[in-house]
Amino acid sequence: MTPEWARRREQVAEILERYPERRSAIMPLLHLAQEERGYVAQEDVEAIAEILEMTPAQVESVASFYALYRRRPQGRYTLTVCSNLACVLGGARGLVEHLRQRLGVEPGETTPDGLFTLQVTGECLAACDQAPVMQVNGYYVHRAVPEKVDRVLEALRRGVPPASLADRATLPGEAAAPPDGASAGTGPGPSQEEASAHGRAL
Amino acid sequence: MAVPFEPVLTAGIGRLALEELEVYESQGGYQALRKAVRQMTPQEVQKEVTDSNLRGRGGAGFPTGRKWSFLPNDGRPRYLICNADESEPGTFKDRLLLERNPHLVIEGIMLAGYAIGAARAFIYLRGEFRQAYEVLQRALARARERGYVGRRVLGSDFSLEIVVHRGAGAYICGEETGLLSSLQGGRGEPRLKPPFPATSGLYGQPTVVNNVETLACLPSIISRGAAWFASIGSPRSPGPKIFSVSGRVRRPGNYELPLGTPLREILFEHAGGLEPGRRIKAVQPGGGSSPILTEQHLDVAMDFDSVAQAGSMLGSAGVIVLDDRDCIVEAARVLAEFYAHESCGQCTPCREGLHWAARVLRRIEQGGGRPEDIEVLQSLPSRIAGRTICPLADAGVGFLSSSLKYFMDEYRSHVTLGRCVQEAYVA
Amino acid sequence: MSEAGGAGMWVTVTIDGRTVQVPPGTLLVEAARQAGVHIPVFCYHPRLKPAGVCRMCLVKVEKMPKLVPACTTPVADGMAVSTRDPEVREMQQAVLEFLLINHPLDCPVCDKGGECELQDLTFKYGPAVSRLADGKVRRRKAVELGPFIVLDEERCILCRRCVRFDDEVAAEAQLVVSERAIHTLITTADGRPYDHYFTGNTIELCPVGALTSRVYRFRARPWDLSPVASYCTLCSVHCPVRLDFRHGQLMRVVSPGAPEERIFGAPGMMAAYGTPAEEVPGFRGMGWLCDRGRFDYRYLHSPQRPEGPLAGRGPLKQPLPWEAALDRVVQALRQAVERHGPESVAIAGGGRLMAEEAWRLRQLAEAVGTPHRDHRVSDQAVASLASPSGRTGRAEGLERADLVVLVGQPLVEQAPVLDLAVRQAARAGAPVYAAGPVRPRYPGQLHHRPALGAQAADVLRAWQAELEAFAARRAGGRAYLIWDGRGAWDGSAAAVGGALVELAGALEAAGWQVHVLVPGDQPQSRAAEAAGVLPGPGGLDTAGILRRAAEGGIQVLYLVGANLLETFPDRSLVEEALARTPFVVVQDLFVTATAAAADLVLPALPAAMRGGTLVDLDGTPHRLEAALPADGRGRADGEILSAILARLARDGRPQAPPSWSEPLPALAVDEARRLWGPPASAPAAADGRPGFPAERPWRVAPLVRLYAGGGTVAFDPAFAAHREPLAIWLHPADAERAGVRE
Ligand SMILES: Cc1cc2nc3c(=O)[nH]c(=O)nc-3n(C[C@H](O)[C@H](O)[C@H](O)COP(=O)(O)O)c2cc1C
Ligand code: SF4
Ligand code: FES
Repeated sequence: MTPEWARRREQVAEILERYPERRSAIMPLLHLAQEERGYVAQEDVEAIAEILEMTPAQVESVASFYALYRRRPQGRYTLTVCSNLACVLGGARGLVEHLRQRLGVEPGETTPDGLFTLQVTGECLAACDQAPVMQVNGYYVHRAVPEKVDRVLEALRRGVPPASLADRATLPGEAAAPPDGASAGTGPGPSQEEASAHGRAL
Repeated sequence: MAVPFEPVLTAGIGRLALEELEVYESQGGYQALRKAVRQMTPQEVQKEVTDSNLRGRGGAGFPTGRKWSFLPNDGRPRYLICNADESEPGTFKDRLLLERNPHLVIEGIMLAGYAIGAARAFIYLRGEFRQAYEVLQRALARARERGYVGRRVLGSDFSLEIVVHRGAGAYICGEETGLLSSLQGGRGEPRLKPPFPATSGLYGQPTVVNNVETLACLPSIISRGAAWFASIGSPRSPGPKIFSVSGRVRRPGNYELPLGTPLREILFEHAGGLEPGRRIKAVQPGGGSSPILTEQHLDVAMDFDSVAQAGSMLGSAGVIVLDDRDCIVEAARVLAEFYAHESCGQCTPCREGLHWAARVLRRIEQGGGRPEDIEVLQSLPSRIAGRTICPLADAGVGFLSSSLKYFMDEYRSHVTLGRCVQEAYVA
Repeated sequence: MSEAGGAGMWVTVTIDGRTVQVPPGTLLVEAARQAGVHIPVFCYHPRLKPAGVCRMCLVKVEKMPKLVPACTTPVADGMAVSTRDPEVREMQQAVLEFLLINHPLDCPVCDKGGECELQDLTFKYGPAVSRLADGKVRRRKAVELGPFIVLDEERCILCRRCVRFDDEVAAEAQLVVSERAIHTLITTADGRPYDHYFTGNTIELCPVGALTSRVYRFRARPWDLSPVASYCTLCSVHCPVRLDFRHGQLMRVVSPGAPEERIFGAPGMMAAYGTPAEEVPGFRGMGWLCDRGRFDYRYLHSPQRPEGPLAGRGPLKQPLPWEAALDRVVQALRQAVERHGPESVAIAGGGRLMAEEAWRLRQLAEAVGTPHRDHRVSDQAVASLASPSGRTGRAEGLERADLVVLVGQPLVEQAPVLDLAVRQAARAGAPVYAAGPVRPRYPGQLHHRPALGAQAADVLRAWQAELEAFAARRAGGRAYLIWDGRGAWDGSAAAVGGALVELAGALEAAGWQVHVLVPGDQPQSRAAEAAGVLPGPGGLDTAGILRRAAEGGIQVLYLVGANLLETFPDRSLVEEALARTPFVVVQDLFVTATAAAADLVLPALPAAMRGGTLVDLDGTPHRLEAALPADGRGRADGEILSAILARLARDGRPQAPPSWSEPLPALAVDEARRLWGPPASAPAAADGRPGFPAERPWRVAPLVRLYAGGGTVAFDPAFAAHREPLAIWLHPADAERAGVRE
């Protein structure tokens, strides 16, 4: 067991406790590895196999099933653009194009400075009323039109944590501002009409 | 409807910080749980739910009380799972509840857990829902402090711990047996039913899997009574329902309305209708898996039975609207690629067939279509749907088969022209 | 079938108009087979749990809205099934078309061509034309998965039989399904080979040419092969096998296949294969082979096998005609007896001989008049042991054991397929208690205590109360006590054997059925033991023979299939013995290290060219027919021995050996006690090494390894790269102590 995993002993014990059977802990342990390292390394696989009394092959078999576990290093911020139906209708293509230009990378790649990884997912991110949508390390950016995306990228570069940029799920008519959105300088998003008009134009 | 409908599940969202325990309590929160554990037996809670005629909001519309009644009484531990894997294209209602009204969901879980005597409850939370995870963890911690969750709930003999289990990006884990495999530490591969989870679920023990919104209905059923609930909406599909409306409407969003509200009313009165001059081309009434409806179906009552009669399904009630400028081939391709990507890969027809369909659609979309492709596309749905272990395969061809039915001409001309006939694609 | 007992409880099903009665719970696919209806399958395999993933077996059942998979649907009384309905036909075509869209169709260069289930079923049920307009998904080809297996990802149809085998049967879980959707593939853990002792079974399970043999690769086409039913002779389990020859050359060894498989298997080629010599009950009849049995066959046609007798000590030997060689042996024997008495002749080895040949070896000793004869070539003490009540242990049924106790060297290294049966029992819930130098891996409950030599006796005694209590809790269980039978060299056999007999007695007293099994370290030690290739009255055992020879007390040392330099625990003693003995004869397949040091080498024939009676570790005899005519290199051991006997006998005609057809009894406890000798006074050899506290000295335990030794594997090109280099295994705690890191 690596020193890292030896250090996590208590955390691991807490995770194991949640489940009547040991193997159930595999997903939280993989999440744990990924949170700390940004991806799941081979030594994490081996450590988890040992903890759960599985073979490394079994751990890899499970890990490879799920799209969110990454087996290669990622950028500090992973930008995940939804490209399911509602977002495609709402301008996802334009959003991807914009990010490709701004970041100079193709989907799946990381910027040379190691800051951003661009991902395009076919999975609907469950924010269809806010299309086009992306996530930064799992935090939502609703109505991600170019101006807003630029503001978000700039804030991230300044070191603003993505959590404080996050948009919450809303009811129609509710103000779309994040709780402390003002401080991040993103401001309320554009209307759906604006967003889709933009998507169409691109 | 005699009494005007008031939102139940989303009441207060946008006005109040319901994710704060005190705020939730101030709105009568956890009173239903208090009532249940102090004044009702588990059987009484179960009866109330059965009488309310609540039907599952996860997609199949199965009566919740009936589902619970299948649990065998054999002393084995029982598990309760809240299905919060919401990944159905066009569906974003559970996320709203989880992020904005988490205590309602927690209270619902505790009520269900009390009713069925669960040994432990799990929330299988979609991996992408990081914000919801943070909100839930905080809410759970607060609820535990207050004695709503954990040992000896509100001083009663009832104990139940809730564990949040995060998924990691796999639509198929929303399917209940895929979810169970995943929660057991495996690949999220569905398995053959029977045995049903009620008899052999998590770790082979009796298990109930209920959707977030289903569980969120429980507090109001317990506090206001089954009769009240049953009186809302369609008699055979009663209760409040959140419709997630997206696509070509002017005010997309979640609308909580009685089940059975006509589709036309949802789209035009609530979601703001279409942009001026546009016409409805196709509507998926129940998420990306549901076959499309067209203008002729706009008066369908949005409840489980009526939508099924119209040839589609209410599913998750994620309503996706396409208007006359949208390309049917592109929409079919986007969905086919999604389902092909989400196939767990076990069943040949699903793994190979959906991928084949997606490739052919992409080629047609890009202008490389050939007349024989139409024949291939037509032959695929009946060789995929209903031929596999789980219904993902059916879902994967829902849009394709229904759109071939209504828009054959458009497919054909896309093939002959080598491009889309729709406005947006005409330069 | 209604005449079968208990027919009243059976259910009746009609399949394509044919009615059968089957026990409830029978799967439709099996019921159809009994009705003589062929339902095509890919993922289904009668020896694996049903998976229901390929969807090839969909059939129509009356009153059911959807087609159902015949491989996962149990019959219900009155079911009416159609396998010919147009909807069924269409789906069969559809599934085949789906499987073929990304299949490379490289049948002409595929090893499986001609015996491929995909090929055959496509021929029988497939679509006429391909409608694919897009390119095929490209994947990796010729991936070297492990020492013996090559994977072609493009050919794989993801039936998962291999993966299910690896988990359900082998309990190794090295081979897994990875990724998902169209990217799904079969693989091992990143950077790890597919490497255990049973990997070859996946080749046979694979319905297509995705998993193929590195040894057999591109060497023959199935239709050129002539199959012969036979038995593996490489360990004492003697699994039934099928040998596939082409022009008299052995091309591959495969399992004979359970009879039901020939019906499921592709029609055509497969049906032409022969049936095994007899139905083998239990796990041996399941057709799982170990990789040694499956892949270690190229020694048979090795150019290193000598053409004829060789004379002269050292590596440079002179060829000698057979008659002259035999005369020289007889002359040496006569001379030794005349000048030094019969006890100057000693015979060692014979644990690889057929029972008849072993019997002739004993006749030879008797003809000479020497009691110094012993088949044991390592520190093996006994090759069998009856339980205290006199019961001879039976190997079949081990897979359904209620309790397994393992003593000594790892079972998988000595009798691999027996170990597979233990895995099965363990998976089904039987606790496994293991006392030995290495911690084995079994699914389920494993209790292991490290033990060397006589320590195992203490461990057994420590467990006895617990096991007795366990036995008392469930009356009528079946215990399998499996002992490596070793400990002759350090004298620990007496202690360990004694403790084992005690434990067996206790379990029998609790009403349990006890099977004591001794796998033995030679494939035919059981036959040699039964034939009496053991010290006669006043005779020396192998160690004694070597000691006396080293003192110069032996004139003729006759070694049969005994490469003592590489099997006997004390190599320097063997060297000394060989050096001091004036005439050493070695009868063996190859010029082994020991043969090189002999005065005369009499080349023998491999079992496949001899035939005779095999005796399994549990005493069950089998008739092995020669699968091949002798190839002129060497003579059958029996023939050599007969020729010598004929020359020695006054009337020139040796006696005919008895025939073995009934199961042989195991050594009675008292007889075994005589063989394992008195308990050693000192504890097992302990090597204290300086630098470590005296209370925790280093102990060195030699380990038995399946691919080690100087026998066939040493002369097999397929194994050259996979014989393990000299290795020392350290307990993690010891490694830490010594400061050794990975
Ligand atoms: C492919 C597929 C995906 C599904 N995804 C979800 C989901 O994300 N959330 C959900 O609650 N139910 C989902 N379901 C339905 C579940 O299998 C199950 O029926 C539901 O959770 C039961 O809850 P209910 O009775 O409360 O509706 C899905 C079903 C299928 C076939
Ligand atoms: S239908 Fe598709 S998703 Fe469902 S079990 Fe089969 S392969 Fe997996
Ligand atoms: S043989 Fe039945 S599904 Fe594969």
